[in-house]
Amino acid sequence: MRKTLYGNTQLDKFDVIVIGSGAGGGPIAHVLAAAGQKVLVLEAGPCHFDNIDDPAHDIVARFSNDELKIERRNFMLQNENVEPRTWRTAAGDGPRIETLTGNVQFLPKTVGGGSVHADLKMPRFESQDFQFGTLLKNVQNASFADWPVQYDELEPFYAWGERLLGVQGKLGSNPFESKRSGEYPMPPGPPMYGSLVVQKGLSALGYTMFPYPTAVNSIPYDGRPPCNNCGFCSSYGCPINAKGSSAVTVLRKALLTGNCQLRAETRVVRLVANGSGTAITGVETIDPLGARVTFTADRFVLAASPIEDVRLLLLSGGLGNSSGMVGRNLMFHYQTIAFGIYGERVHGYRGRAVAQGFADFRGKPNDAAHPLAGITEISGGGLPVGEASYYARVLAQAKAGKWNGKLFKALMRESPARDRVMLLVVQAEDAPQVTNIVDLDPDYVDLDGLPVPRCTYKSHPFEVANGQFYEPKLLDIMMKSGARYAAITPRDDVPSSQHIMGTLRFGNDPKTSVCDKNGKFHDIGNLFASDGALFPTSSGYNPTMTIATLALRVGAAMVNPASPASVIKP
Amino acid sequence: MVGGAATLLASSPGCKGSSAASGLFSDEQRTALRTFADVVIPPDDEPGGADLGAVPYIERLLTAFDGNDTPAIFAGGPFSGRQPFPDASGHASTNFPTSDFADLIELDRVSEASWRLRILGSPGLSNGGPNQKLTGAIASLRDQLVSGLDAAISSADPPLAQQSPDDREATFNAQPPAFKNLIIELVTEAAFAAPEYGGNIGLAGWKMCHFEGDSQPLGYSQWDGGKHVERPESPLSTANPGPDVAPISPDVDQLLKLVIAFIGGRTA
Ligand SMILES: Cc1cc2nc3c(=O)[nH]c(=O)nc-3n(C[C@H](O)[C@H](O)[C@H](O)COP(=O)(O)OP(=O)(O)OC[C@H]3O[C@@H](n4cnc5c(N)ncnc54)[C@H](O)[C@@H]3O)c2cc1C
Ligand code: SF4
Repeated sequence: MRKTLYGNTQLDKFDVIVIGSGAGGGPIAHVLAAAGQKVLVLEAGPCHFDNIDDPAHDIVARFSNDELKIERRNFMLQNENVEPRTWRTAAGDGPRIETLTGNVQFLPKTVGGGSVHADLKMPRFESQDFQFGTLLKNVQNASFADWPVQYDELEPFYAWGERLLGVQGKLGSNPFESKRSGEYPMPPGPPMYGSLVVQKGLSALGYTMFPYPTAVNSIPYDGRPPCNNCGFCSSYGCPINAKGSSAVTVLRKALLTGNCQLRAETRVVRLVANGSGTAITGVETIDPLGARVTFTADRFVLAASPIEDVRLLLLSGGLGNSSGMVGRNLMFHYQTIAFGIYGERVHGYRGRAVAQGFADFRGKPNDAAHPLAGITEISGGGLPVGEASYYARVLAQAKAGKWNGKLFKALMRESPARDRVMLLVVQAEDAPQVTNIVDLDPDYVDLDGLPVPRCTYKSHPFEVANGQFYEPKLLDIMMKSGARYAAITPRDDVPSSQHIMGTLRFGNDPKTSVCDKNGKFHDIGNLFASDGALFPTSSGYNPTMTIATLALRVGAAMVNPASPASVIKP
Repeated sequence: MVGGAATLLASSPGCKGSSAASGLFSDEQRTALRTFADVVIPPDDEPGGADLGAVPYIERLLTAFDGNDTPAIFAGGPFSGRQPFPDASGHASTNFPTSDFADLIELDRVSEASWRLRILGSPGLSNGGPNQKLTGAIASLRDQLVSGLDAAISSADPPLAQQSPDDREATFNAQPPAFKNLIIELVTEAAFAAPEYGGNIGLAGWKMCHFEGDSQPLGYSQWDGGKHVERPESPLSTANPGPDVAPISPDVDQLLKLVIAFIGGRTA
């Protein structure tokens, strides 16, 4: 029998139910449980962490350096044939763009959520990023808005989050970073050789490479070992728990308080509301065997990630939507990816996916010489099964669909796309638009017969133009660093970023936002959101440090609404 | 009340506890599969797709739901036992972990439904899959392979066994793209995935592409108590020692130039 119940299994009355155990769910469970609240965490995915609730033993993770299991067989992802998502660019496309029905912005599905998959690059946002309502008013057909909390108020929560998750980095190494109250909890780990090769190009052109702030142990920290740079990091759970996922940090801490119960493989399918829709009374779930079970509590937290949060509200009759903003302003980072193939083997597949980055392309609002884009990750190539598929696609295109086995074998041996490649990945600001929206597909259903989410999403000319501005500069870097071949990766129509934000934006005005400054729904007295759904704008830095930070702050405000900062532990 | 997948999971066709290799392919089909595996990865001084284990890999996948054992979809973790623990000085020790990869991981309700649908097609789920009314019945991986192999066998003239390697490649290229892509996908998975799935026999796939394979618990940097040390033969932060094991050849250079020109990139 699979184990699905963890923590204090005796609890049957709960103060708070948290839906989702990922980057937003774990931190809030920790704050609330540490404050003595009885917390139930409901997680749709399975738990691959043995001993997660056992204080006497270290966690044993069932992840592994196994490309097939993780990348091909969806060990910890939704499965598109039984849990599809659909996509279209605009209502004019009809119900959906049929051929792309499937894995649209796939849902990381496991205890720990996407914080398990991510290689956890965890930079903070810059202070300017919270003010684009004011600074970018003039962008047509975009809905930039100021955040109801600003950097200075979040800074102590950022620092708390960095301590809890264990973030490595070097204060002052990113010339664009906003003021920090202290050094990172850990020094940077060793660099990857490929980044040092790329650095030659960056230095020649006057850009500043820095160690990427990452929630990965560089030294022993919080009872977990240092990362050994195993090379199977992004998309892979960490086999030795050196990665500070929600699961092995905050969620484990919550479970060890005795105040928290975790139910894995338990999917919430409906929020049960009172007659007027102003309070939630319970949640209906599908349990690990497929049975419907209802749980009750006083307060409820949505941390199922932006797309599933909205789906759940819509499956519950369209709750919390007096503003008409539920599901709107869906954002993904606008990624521009350049690759450089070198004559030498730079072995970028060894290491923690991304060890260095630069922020010279983050830019400034309204500055034509430095348009707003985003932080740039210096990343290595993939692994052989994926590499083989890539060559198969290239050969099919270059040779008019004719397979050439000898050439394929030469490609695998010489490995231009794994052993010799480095990537520059820009994570650029995505202009929010009210027409980019999550709703329910009118036809497609999941395994349990429930309508699946449909994303209507199209990039705004703002990010397209800004991305194009930096494309030649990315190629300059590659060529100056000694690449033999360099190009911009052609873009897919479905946006490929796994940074999902917006849909329940928070703000001070109930007419234009769904949640208030403390993450509470304007319309519903006991429902909160604590994930990237709250973001009014996307920034151009990886979102998860800010997701965790907001989750800590939402939790702290639930504990002490008058003074959330007083809840922070040194 | 128990509903959902407990009732959705129909019994598998052919679910008679049959052994991995039995009953799935005829001898002729298996031979054709080996032939095509060698088209995808031709043998030379190193093995081709067939000797890399394409057939056992595919048979293991397709029979995952035959019998009552845990389906062979997800190998266990965290370690395979191929790499040692580091010692206190950060160097490889002689202490190897046991193989966790050999312990298969049970599928949860949703993953099981998904894999049944993929491998067994619509008959694998009692309702035929959640969107059968919209998409039509889903063909099983088994049927896709068997029917594709049969079509290839009957169209091959002369028979595959009598063809030269170049003619076999031409026969393969004459097959429908969906079938070709499926064969390429499965053969390359077999060749380059962990050997516990039935392929990559003798780790020859990884050797061929100069890949070290799974690296835990040693990794590419080891903590010696005060700093990270690296493996001299496979360093993390410095160049590889020695000459390039397989430099870029003129054929690959030509292909790369073609691709780069096509997508508007730059070449040194
Ligand atoms: C391969 C990969 C690499 C990434 N790398 C980075 C990176 O380096 N840096 C970065 O900042 N971000 C990265 N991300 C993105 C990062 O994972 C997300 O930003 C982050 O996890 C989002 O947090 P969340 O809490 O909103 O959602 P998640 O962490 O995805 O958690 C949501 C959880 O809710 C569960 N859930 C959903 N619906 C229900 C339901 N109805 N009932 C119960 N449970 C439910 C899901 O199973 C999931 O576990 C990466 C993502 C991926 C996939
Ligand atoms: S690279 Fe480091 S953090 Fe990433 S999975 Fe490997 S050991 Fe864990």
